[in-house]
Amino acid sequence: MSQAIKSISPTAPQLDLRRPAIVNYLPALLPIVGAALMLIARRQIGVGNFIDDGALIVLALLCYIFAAAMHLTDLFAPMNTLGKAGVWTASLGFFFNLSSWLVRWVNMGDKEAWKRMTDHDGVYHAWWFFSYIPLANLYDLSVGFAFGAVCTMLLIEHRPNTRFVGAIALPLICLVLILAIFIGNEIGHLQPVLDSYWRPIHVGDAMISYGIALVSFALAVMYLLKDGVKPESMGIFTALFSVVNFVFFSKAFQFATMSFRLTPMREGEGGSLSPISPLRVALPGVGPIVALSMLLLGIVAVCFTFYALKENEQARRFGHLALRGSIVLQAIGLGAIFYQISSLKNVGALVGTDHLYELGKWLSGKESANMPVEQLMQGANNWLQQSSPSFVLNARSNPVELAALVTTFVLSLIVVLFSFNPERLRAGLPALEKLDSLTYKTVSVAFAGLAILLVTGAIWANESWGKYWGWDPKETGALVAWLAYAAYLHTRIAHGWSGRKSAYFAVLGFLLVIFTYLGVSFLLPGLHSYAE
Amino acid sequence: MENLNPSQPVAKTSRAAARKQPITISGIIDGFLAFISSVPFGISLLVLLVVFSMIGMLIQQQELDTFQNYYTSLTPAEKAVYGKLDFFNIYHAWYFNFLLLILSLNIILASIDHFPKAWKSMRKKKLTASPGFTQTMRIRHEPLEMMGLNRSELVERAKAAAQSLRYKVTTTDKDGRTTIYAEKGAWNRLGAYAVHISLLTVFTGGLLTSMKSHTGGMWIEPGEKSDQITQNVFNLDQVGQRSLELPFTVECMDIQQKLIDPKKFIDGGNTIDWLSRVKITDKQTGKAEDVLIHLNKPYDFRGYRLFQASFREMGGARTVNLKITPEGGGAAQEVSVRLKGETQLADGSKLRYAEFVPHFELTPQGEPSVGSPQYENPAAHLQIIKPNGEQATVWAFTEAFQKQIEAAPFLKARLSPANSPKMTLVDFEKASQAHMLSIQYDPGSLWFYIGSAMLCTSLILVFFFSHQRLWIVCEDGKIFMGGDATRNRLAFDDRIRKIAARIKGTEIQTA
Repeated sequence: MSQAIKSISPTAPQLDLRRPAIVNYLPALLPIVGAALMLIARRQIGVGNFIDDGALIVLALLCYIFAAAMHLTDLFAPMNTLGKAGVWTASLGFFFNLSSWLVRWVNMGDKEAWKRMTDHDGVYHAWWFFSYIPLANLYDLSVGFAFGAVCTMLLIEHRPNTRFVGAIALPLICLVLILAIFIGNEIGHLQPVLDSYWRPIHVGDAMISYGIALVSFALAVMYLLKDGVKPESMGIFTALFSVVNFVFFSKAFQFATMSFRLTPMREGEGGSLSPISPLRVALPGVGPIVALSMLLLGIVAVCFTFYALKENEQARRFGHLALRGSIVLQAIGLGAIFYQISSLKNVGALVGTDHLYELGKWLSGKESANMPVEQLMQGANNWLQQSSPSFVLNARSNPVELAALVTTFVLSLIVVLFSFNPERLRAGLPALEKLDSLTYKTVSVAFAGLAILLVTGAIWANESWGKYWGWDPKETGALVAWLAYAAYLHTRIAHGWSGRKSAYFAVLGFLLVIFTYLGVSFLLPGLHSYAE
Repeated sequence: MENLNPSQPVAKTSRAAARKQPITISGIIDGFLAFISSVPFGISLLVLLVVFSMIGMLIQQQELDTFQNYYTSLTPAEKAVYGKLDFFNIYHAWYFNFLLLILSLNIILASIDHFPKAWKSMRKKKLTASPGFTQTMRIRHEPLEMMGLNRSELVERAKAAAQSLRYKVTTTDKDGRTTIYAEKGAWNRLGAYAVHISLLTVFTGGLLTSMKSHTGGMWIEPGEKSDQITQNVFNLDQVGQRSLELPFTVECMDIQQKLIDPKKFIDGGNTIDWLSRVKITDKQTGKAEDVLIHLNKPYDFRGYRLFQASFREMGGARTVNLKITPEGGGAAQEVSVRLKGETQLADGSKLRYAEFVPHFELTPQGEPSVGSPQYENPAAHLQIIKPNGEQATVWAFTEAFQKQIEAAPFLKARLSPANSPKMTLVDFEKASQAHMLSIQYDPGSLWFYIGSAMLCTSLILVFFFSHQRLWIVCEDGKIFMGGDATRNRLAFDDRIRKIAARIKGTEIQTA
């Protein structure tokens, strides 16, 4: 047994080299075979009698939650059976996740009666089934992102002593799927120009590279924890992330009225819900709870920063108290939000009249520039009188803002869990060298994947509209994330840059990936924008 | 990238030398070169590039559609400061280009700096090792005790084991022991340079594009031709336009629209593809070509590329099916005619389909007009050329509208002239009225494509393979193993364990 890597994980057995290699990869491979069978079954059985792709995603999420719990327990109280069970539960989740995606593929084709597979002369091309690949919107990409990450994780976990990866990766994957569920699996219309064979290549590469980047992030965080970075520092990051998002990006909270507000939705053509973007409806009773939980997180950030700088034990204790209080309030707040979303009646009556001008502009589109303000507001008012009775609330209206709240909650829980017994956590994690090696491996693959993402995106753009690089925010975002990973890779040959600095770059790289993935689409205008 | 040991003899010595020497011109130049070729400087440039790019993402750029709205929403101070710093057009600002230039320089110089070492570690092989040396290696195996087997037997086994895992082995005898040097993927050391050369190729393409390329739009309608494209010129919130002449003319022959539901409107939400058939005539040679351009299927012509860019959301008809009833009564004839096309009628006259109106209306003055882009009241405008040369224009309406006309004498007088056959619009194939072609000339894109292909290939070659070196030192009854890999050390560790198991495995069998 080689000595350098021998003492990594004291309990987990090493990879059994006598078994054929493929046996170790079964948790990653079996779900692919299973999902392919599901695809065939869906084609044979037809849509009516087959399980819905949305239900399959919920099953996947449940499996991931259980698998995450098992992985976390295994980290603190290592047990071989539990580790194995965690891997196989994640594998089952992977099966549901991938099946859902493939079933959706067939659903999308059925919806348009596979019309895209015949060309303008009416000739049928079998390989054009790529036109219906479910990589058309953020829901599809999130589902793909999740299984890309799980597949990477399962491939890494083919060694029994690398089963720790899921302890951080799986909670993150759960969050990605929760976001997908919030967005909703409605099948939208694909812009004609996007119907190109470059779409599966480009977006397919995106979901795999993003998935790998997620795993590299989990590994880098573990490296930092093992290297002695305090879980409280993670707490500072969590609190800052949430508070900054809450104050600057999310429009859900209005400080003047201390209210938590969501965008109302309206049933449109064919029963699909569409958000009325300029409007917000205050959920009764939620605002103060959410505000207080965020205030406590602010206190957490201050206390933990003080602790991190001055080693002040009292600040630490006080910070933890605030964190726990915040978690309780966050749980109550989330419960209240979802209770109100599902039960609030007469949503239209709660719409204020303070957004009439924006609503008027939104309703009349481009023509609004030539219309007087009074006319816009009058039009908006009339429309509101007429349509407000049909307003409803749905998580789909503000998926990213709600997912950010859930993320804050999950991250807070993880911080509490990790600071419970940091010594034990550190003992459970493998040696720095191994974490570093795995981070390096995943970052390199993600780096190559992101390069291919940039290149295929550029070629697709050039083939579709004749410009391979236009500094579109999404392109630039992807480039920025790629550059951060490039910086990570170069820190390894730079003189005197230690492992910890590298790990920070790996963390930064993934944060930029997420920013590109969500922030650009929802906050900034451009080709990939979902912003209004 | 390929070496984890943070030692850079070349860069380090030159920097140290620069520091010790008295200040001379060459010393300053050396120091400067050492500085701009250093990796930390490169990382700093990357970080700076990240910062500038983020600014460009967060502050809207002037060529965006939404820029005008955004610009008016800014305060005068913001406008002044951002404008002064070129933040509305940051990617074309002088300092951004300068940064790219310095980064390119850094890549070139750092590569030159590091190349000799990589070359050395690829070419120069350490063929002999001591047991102690193997145990200082990053990946090592505890010594194998194999009493009863002499050195040559062990060497044979170890060689076979390493070769079975596809290592290239070199055996050297020295100082009473044998070193087996097993190696794989030495070329991997040069991969990083291939990546950087690819990047520079991509940059070259970008530079050519920014200096030499031009793109513009051209609206085309069946029956019309043009040799002009219109370019947008941005200056903050002012968008100007400029015309460019092409070395060829484009004549539109036919436009077609592939819809999801043919019953619905031709908007983007119901469209799968739209196609233009055009005739391109080279002005120099006079040669003409008939080509089809549709979505995601551009056409290349003399260094120019013609793309399908957008379509006018105005209901049109590619072909109309008409029922023609002669004015004196008699058997009705059904014909189908293409826009701007002609067909022969039973009485020998020619019928030409000139124009389509999706929503036919009469103005209060009694003039025909277009009510909306929707197919509310479709009508086709036709020309009839009788065998005797007499010409007349008539409208073909739907049966429903014809009934309305019959009932209203005013309409009848305006729209249904005597002595002409009755034309009924039975059916039509929906299409847009006009397409926008985007025509691009870009000598940089070839470089970009080549660089991109090289980049993807070299990155895969670099990161999915590694340079692995293993020293197996055999003494009588004892084997020491140690080595290192540039990437994927865990798999390398597995391989060492496998080799050890194979060496030992045969021992069990023979014993």
